[in-house]
Amino acid sequence: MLKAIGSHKDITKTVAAIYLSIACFLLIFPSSKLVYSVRALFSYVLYPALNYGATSEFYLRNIPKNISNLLKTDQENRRLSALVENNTIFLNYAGTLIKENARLVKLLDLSPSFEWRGTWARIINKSPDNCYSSFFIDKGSDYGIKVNYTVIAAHGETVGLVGRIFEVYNNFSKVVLITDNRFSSVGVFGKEETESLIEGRGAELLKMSHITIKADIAKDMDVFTSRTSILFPQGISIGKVSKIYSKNMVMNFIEADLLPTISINVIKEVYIISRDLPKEMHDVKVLRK
Amino acid sequence: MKFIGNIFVFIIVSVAYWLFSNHFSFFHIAPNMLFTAAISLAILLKPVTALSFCFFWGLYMDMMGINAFGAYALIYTLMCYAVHISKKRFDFDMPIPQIVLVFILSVLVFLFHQMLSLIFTDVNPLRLKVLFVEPLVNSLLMPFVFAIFHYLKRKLKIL
Repeated sequence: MLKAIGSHKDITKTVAAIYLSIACFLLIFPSSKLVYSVRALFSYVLYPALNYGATSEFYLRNIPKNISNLLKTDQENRRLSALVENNTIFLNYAGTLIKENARLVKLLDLSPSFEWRGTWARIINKSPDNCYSSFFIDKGSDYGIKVNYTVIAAHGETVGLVGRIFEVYNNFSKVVLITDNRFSSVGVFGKEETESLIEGRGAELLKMSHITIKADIAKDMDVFTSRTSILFPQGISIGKVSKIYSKNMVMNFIEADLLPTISINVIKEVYIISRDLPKEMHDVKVLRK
Repeated sequence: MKFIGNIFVFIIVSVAYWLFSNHFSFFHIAPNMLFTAAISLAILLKPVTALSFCFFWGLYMDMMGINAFGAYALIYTLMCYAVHISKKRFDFDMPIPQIVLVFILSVLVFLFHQMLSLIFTDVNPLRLKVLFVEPLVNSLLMPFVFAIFHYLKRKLKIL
C-alpha cells in the first residue's frame, strides 16, 4: 500500500518535472521558425484583433517571410479597406460641395445684375413646426443688417421676394416670410399695374384680396411689389396668380391665390437688400403715436 | 470514456475562454475561464491528469499570446503542482478558501508572467487595470466554475 502511494507520488513528480522541463525548454531555447509560424497563424485565426495593434511587429518576429507577408497583406488589406470606406464618404461629401459650389457660383453671377445693393446670407435655421413663418440667417448687425431690410432669393434664373428682416442680432437675424400669417403688402399686376393686398396664410399659397372686379387679372399673371409699398423696393416678383375666386365677391372685390415666385422649401441662401426706410418711418413707436 | 470526457472538457473550456476574452470583455477585462478551470481541476482531479490539463491549457494560452512562448505552460504547471501540495493542508472544497486561493494565485501568476516576459522577451504585458480587477473577477467566478466541474466529476463522472 505504502509502495503504491510512494510510486504514485513519484509519477506525479516525474510528470510535473517533464512538463516543467518542456516549458523551460520552450522558454529558454529559441523556438524554430515552424513553431513561430504555427503560433502566428493559430493566434491570427483566433485573435485577429491582436494583429492590428502596435505589437504586431513584435508578433511577426522570427517567422518565415512568406507567412509574415501573408499576415501583413491581410493587415494592409484591412487598413486599405477602411481607407477606401473613408474616401467614399469624403467623395460623397465632395460631390455635395461641388453641387453647392455650382449653385453659389450661379448666385454670384446673378447678383451683379441686381439693381439693389446688399449682401448674401446663408439660412442657418428653419423652424420645423412652422416653416412658412420665419427662418434665421447667418448675418446680423456686424454685417450692417437692419430691421425691415428686404430679403429676396434666387432659384436658377428666377429672383423673388422672400420676406423682411424682423429681428437683428450681432451675428444672425430672423427673417419673417411672405407666407407668414402676419405678412401683408401691396402688390401690382397687369399692364395697368392694378394694386391688390397680398397676405400670408401660414401655408404655401398667398392670398390676394381687394382686387376690383374690373381688374384685368388672369391665371399665371405675375405680381410684383408696388412703388407704393414702404417696406419693399418696387418691381420684385412676388408670385404668380394660381386661382381666381371671381364668385367670392365681397363689396365688389374678388380674391385670388398667389403662388410665390420662390418656394420657401428650396432656398438655401438669401440676398438682403440694404434699403433703409424713410427717416420718419424709422421709429415704429413714434409712428404709432 | 474518461479520456474522451477529458478531451471534451479541454475543448469546451478552451472555446469558452476564447469566447469570453473576445466577445465578453469590458475594457479588456474578462473572467479568465481557463485559469479558474485549471485551479478547479487541480483541486478535483488526480495530480497527473490535472497537471496535463494545466500544461496544455498553458500551451494553448502561449499559442494565443504574443509574449514568451512557454511561460504560461510553466506557470500553470507550477500552479497546479502548488495546489496539489497545498490541498493536503487546506480544504478547497468550500467557496471561501477557493476565492482566497484564486485571488492570491491570480496576482502571483500575473507577476510571474510579467517577470518571465521581461526576462525573455523584453515585453511588458502587464496592465495595471487587469492586475487589479481580474483577480477579483476570477475569485468571484471560481465557486461557480468549481461547482460545474464538481458536478461533471461526481454526478456525470465525465472527468
